[in-house]
Amino acid sequence: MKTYLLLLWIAAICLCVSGCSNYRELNQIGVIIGMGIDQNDSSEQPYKVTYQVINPSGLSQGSSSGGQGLPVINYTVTAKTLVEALKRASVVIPREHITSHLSLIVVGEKLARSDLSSLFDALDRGKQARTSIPVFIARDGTAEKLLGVIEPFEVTPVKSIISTSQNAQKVYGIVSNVQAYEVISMLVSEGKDLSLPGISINKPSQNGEEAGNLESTSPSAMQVKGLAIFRNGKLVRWLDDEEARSIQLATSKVKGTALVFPCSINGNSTLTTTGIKSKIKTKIRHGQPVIHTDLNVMGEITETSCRKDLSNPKVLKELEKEVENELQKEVTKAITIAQKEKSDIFGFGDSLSRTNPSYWGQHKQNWENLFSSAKISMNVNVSIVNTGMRTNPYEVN
Amino acid sequence: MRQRHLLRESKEKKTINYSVTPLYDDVNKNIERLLNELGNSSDVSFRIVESPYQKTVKAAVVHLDGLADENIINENIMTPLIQWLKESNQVVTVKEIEEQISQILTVSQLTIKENWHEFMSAVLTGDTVILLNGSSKIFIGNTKKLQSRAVTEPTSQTVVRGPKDSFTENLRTNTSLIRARIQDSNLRLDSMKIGSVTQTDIGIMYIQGNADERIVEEIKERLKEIKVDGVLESNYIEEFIRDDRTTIFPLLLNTERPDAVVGNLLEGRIAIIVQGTPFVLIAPAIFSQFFQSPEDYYQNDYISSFLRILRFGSFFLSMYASAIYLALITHHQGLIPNTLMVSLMAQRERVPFPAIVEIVVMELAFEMLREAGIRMPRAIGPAVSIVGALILGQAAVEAGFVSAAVVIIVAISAISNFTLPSTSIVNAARGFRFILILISAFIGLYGILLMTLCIWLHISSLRSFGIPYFSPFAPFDFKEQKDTLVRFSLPSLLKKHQNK
Repeated sequence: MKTYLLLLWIAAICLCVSGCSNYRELNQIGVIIGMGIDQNDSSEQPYKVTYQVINPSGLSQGSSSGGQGLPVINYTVTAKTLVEALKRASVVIPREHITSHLSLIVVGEKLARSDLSSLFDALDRGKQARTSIPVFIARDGTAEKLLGVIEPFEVTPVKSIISTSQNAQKVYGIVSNVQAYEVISMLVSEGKDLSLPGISINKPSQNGEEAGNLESTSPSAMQVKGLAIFRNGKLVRWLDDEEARSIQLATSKVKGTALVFPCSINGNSTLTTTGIKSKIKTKIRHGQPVIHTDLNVMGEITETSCRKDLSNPKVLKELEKEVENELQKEVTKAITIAQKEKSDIFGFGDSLSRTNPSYWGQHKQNWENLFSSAKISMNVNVSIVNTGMRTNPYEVN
Repeated sequence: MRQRHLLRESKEKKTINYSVTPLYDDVNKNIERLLNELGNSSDVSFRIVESPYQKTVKAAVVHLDGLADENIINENIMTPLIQWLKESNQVVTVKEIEEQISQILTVSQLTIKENWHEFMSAVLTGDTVILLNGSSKIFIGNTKKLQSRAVTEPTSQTVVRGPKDSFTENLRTNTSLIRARIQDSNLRLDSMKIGSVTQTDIGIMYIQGNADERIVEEIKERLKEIKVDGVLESNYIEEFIRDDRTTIFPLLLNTERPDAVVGNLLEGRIAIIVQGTPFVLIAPAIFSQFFQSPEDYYQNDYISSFLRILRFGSFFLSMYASAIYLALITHHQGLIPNTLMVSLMAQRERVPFPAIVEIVVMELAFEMLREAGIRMPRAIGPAVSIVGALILGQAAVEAGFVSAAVVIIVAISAISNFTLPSTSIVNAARGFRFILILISAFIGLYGILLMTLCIWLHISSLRSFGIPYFSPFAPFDFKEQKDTLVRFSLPSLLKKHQNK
């Protein structure tokens, strides 16, 4: 009996000694879900950081009513380093803020053009935030402005940026979400350069940041616009639409897209892809690297405006050839642009380091120049699987 | 003004110890003495019959009204007795009467005793005693009959498919239900009486050769050591004979179903039947048994496996749901996914109480509702249950006392209680739930982990009659895994027991 009493006493004392340790109610914390980093003009405080914090009372009233409050609130502070910015934000944020739910980082274009590389150390080193969050570049504007746009579709702007970008990746394939740890590994790697998706505001309007935007049928919205190419951690060029997509095709990051090709003099057809696989190889011929891309595309004809007999396999073979030519042209163009910028965003250097480590070891310092003068070779293979629910187009009489 | 005495002075009672004295010769005196000892109890009924030819040939038939079967007394005792008295017109000695009485009485069991103690206990258990004038011998005929329930459906452990009879309060009925299912000569039934005032009959049934002899002996020893006034329910026995007296976990299984008892007997366990309660104890019992329902064997083995895993899951859910919720929203917010976080924050914004107060209040409210539900009169039951659900659920959330998430979590942990077939293990889960909630409020998930460690250490150290409580998980027995978490099909499970 005495041992039980003793154990009970020890348990009671332990509880009193530890107290309530990290006990924090949900309505005592401010949850930061998005971070935007811009360049500040002062040299004392080079960073202007915007934090997007959840406003719970705005949520409980219903985000579509737009009555008492909006679901998020943005707070902007300037500081010398990112961690200092986080601490400085406490002068404006009303509750103890935590970064464990941080799910987005947006970097302003100006800052990306000057230098991006030192931004991610705080994230990697910190204990609370995760590094599996996507990073975007705010195109033609500041991250502050971008994070202020509330769309009626998704609850928070952060969510709308992420889901728009995922949708673009799945359906059109011009960008792909890059996560912070991937950014760090690409900055560090000598064989691959960084490329990041860009976000801008579609239909910028005065009240894009207000509840009025939620009640309009054509509101200001987030738009995925282009792919940013980096070199040595600095943004050098933007690629749009088909060029951006070609880059994604070559690096096998496209889940599905629609390829348009001319099927006759004045007609276009559309091939919706069902599966894309690509392999990049860097071969060494006569001491010079040759960058080789293998591209395999499977797709269906989903739209056509030429009157061709699509039930004939020979015709399909011709169309396949057309698509292959188109693809070859586009991808070669994209690789040439990257070569001009001396930025190996595809990872040809990486593949060379795996296949021919000795050559890589000797020449990796000079890879920029070697890459920009390398010969391009490609092997494109397209197979049309079916033509949709119809074989021949209807004839107009 | 009249003063009212709260307690009257108790009258001095004269107590004469009669039990050591033998019976009187005179029938009247014996009966007078009996009535005296029983305090002139109004249900003692007796009849004195005498021979029409001889005044000294007298017999008295004594029984307790209600405990003894009137029909048997009338047909098998009174009729032959009076018949014989009418026909015997010769002068006979007391010795001859004694010999003849045992011939004429047509009861199935007739014993002849000589002392007062036997007389008293015979009358008190419902037998009929025949006294003879001039003789010190008494004749005890077995006329026990107790008004008891008919065999109906079990109230607590019902099944969809399977036998639907249950034990009753009568020991003899219960043993007969078991005997009807096991018609083997190796089935043993040992009896004893426990309780100095109630003299409750206890039956111990086991299959000779299947059951471990040492455990049988151990049980009998422990039963003999019980010294109480009365045994009202099998729980009295359970708390006295279990191995560890301070644990909340049940160490003996109790069941109302004969088929469950028979299944356990066939596996080599021992059943303890107590007069006065339909709940039969089964010893020894291990942890995984409380998750087995007899219906597991009456349905398809895949479904039964799924349901068994579900039951284990519900046991842990009912212990941990509230505690883990509390730990996540107060200490480990980083573990909550983003969309859930957003919705939880919206809900908690309007609630004035800290999370721990909310959860403890809701849990207590549910326990109160449960207790009230047991005792509610059937007439107002449905009305109050609707009101209770509405008040606790809807109105509390809308008034802003509790958040909707807490109502759901408490409801989940309460409902998962009811999936378990045995109430005794469910009570253990309920007890630990509150401790876990308090600890998680202090030190979050780390505290839950520590408490879980304590609970597991405790369970693993328990033994039920020498058998480790957590087997077949803890001393891992590979062959026994066929019937714990999942149930393999019956052909691979059942084997014919050779008599060891």
